[in-house]
Amino acid sequence: VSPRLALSITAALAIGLTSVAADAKPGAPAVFCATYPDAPACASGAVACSYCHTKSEAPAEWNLYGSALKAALLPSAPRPLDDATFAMGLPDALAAIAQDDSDGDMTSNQGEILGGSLPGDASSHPTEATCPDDAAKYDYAVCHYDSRYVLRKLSLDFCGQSPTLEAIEALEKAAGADREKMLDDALDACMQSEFWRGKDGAVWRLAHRKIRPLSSIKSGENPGVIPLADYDDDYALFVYTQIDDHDAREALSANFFVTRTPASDGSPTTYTRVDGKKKGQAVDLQHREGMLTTAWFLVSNVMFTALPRTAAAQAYRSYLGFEIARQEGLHPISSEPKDYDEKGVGAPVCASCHSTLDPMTYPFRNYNGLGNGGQGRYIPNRIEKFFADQAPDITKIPESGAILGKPVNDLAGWVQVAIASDEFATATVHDYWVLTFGADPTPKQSADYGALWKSFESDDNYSVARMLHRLIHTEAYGEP
Amino acid sequence: VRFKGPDRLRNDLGAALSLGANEICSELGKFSCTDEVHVVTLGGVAAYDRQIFEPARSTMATTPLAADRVVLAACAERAKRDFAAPDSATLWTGLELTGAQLADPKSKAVKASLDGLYTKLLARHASSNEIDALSAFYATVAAQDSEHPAQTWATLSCYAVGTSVEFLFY
Repeated sequence: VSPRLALSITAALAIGLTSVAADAKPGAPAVFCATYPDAPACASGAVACSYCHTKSEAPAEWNLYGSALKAALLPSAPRPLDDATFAMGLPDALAAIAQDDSDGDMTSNQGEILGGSLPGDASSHPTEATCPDDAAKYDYAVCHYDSRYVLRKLSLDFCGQSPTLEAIEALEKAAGADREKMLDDALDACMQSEFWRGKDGAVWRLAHRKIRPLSSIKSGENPGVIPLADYDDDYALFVYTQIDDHDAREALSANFFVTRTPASDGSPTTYTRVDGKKKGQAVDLQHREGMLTTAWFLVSNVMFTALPRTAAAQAYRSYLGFEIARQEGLHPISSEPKDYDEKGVGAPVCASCHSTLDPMTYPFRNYNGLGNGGQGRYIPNRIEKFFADQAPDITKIPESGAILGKPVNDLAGWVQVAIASDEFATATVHDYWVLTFGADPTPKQSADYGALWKSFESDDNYSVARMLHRLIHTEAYGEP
Repeated sequence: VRFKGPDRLRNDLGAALSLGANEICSELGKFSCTDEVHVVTLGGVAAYDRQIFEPARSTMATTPLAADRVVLAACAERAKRDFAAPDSATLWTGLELTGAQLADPKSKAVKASLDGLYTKLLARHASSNEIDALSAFYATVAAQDSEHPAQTWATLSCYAVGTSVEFLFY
């Protein structure tokens, strides 16, 4: 049993869901991905429930693969299975049907799982480009690493324009080691370009879905009609953490802000740390947690709510790659959700997600969005001061909670668990993979992808720049 | 292969055809094709106002129309400038004209310009077959455009190379 599988089973065993419908098994995707870590379906962090289910809410329904798996799962054990028994039995059940062809499309379940198609859908087949017997007639070394191809690709990916004929000819004349250096030099030069690091550049645009800007309520430069907060600060902080060999974990852990100085006189755009106060940012130094506590994040995600589930879900989506609304990344906590604010989240159809989401939200309880005189601030006893009359037990919302199944005392603890996780490394590398490939890793690329995010969290010390240098020398990147 | 999208398309056309970002293509003479009007269609985003935070993962049904529009506009602008001021031409240089017609579609100057077209747009030299094909294309154009056949041929030759898979994708 691999360490990752053991951890997943242990986490699933710890769930002990008492309030979640017996059909729903939120721990299943994690056990599946621990069993098949190289499955392309797991590349972005979690396999979707639809991999086995046609309907995952109670009463659940299964596709052909899910039905076969259900039948193979501890067939002699009495139903319903509790979550601990389910998690213990799932790896054996997965193995038992690995060589079967549940959907009858002439490819085994394991072949489909590792080949990137759906084992429960007969119309889905593994596809992988085939290599020609003789690649000599092509302009590029098809199916082999081709440095000329890499120069063109990296120039377009990172500089935003094609290399000149002169640059290509210079590369072709160089020897092997020199070629590698030329590619690295070209990448370094591109990472100083405005296309990469400037306002509305490639890295800036990566932050759009994390920040979700809205010009009509922007403050600062180019304010909207109702200026509430300035998301330019968020973009500056995010870009800073992704460039110049900085530590990408600071996107979540930074206790500083960043100012941007536009390019001028041939110098690129620069980003500078601001360790003290910054105009428009109200959260105190002790409670700053990078992108999660900026004025814009709190105003737009907490707004007027007591328990800002939207903020936690947006953080989970943006930095750990889990869309909780699609039941991804579920790590239910025993006896949750408590439903302190009486929103009805204890209903079975809601609890399967809220047993993860609510404890993940509690550490945001004192971060204020709008109103109550503390826009974008940390206000001790915020719930008690401003929301006490909303529900009888609402003041019992703790500041402690849980993320990825691990208990945390507050948002600082939340962030430390998040940035230390494989999920953070995977989500960060996945952003750049999709940026440069335009798609998730294929089965053939999964080894390079796996090595890349593992190096990112070890040898590369979470430097995006180092990770990208590693990326351009992979077979996946260099094969036309 | 991936479609270049609005920024790379604009940058590559600008570099190849020596046009500024705002000279490549605009609608109503005011609104940039690549940065505003067709940005989403070409695979870009419109985050601040329209809440489109991520580009589409594949090209859309109308992407070819928008790409055609941009390339044709840029090629037409380059040809117009070069034929209006041959001494400062950057792409269509040294062409010998008889009125508005090419004096000799197979001349060295025509071949050199066509090779320059490939060099600038595709960062490689043109093959003899490619040069022969575009040289021969002049007769087709001249048969349909008696007013500005040379300039139209130059525009459409550029358009042909600029809308190739090799240029639009990478």
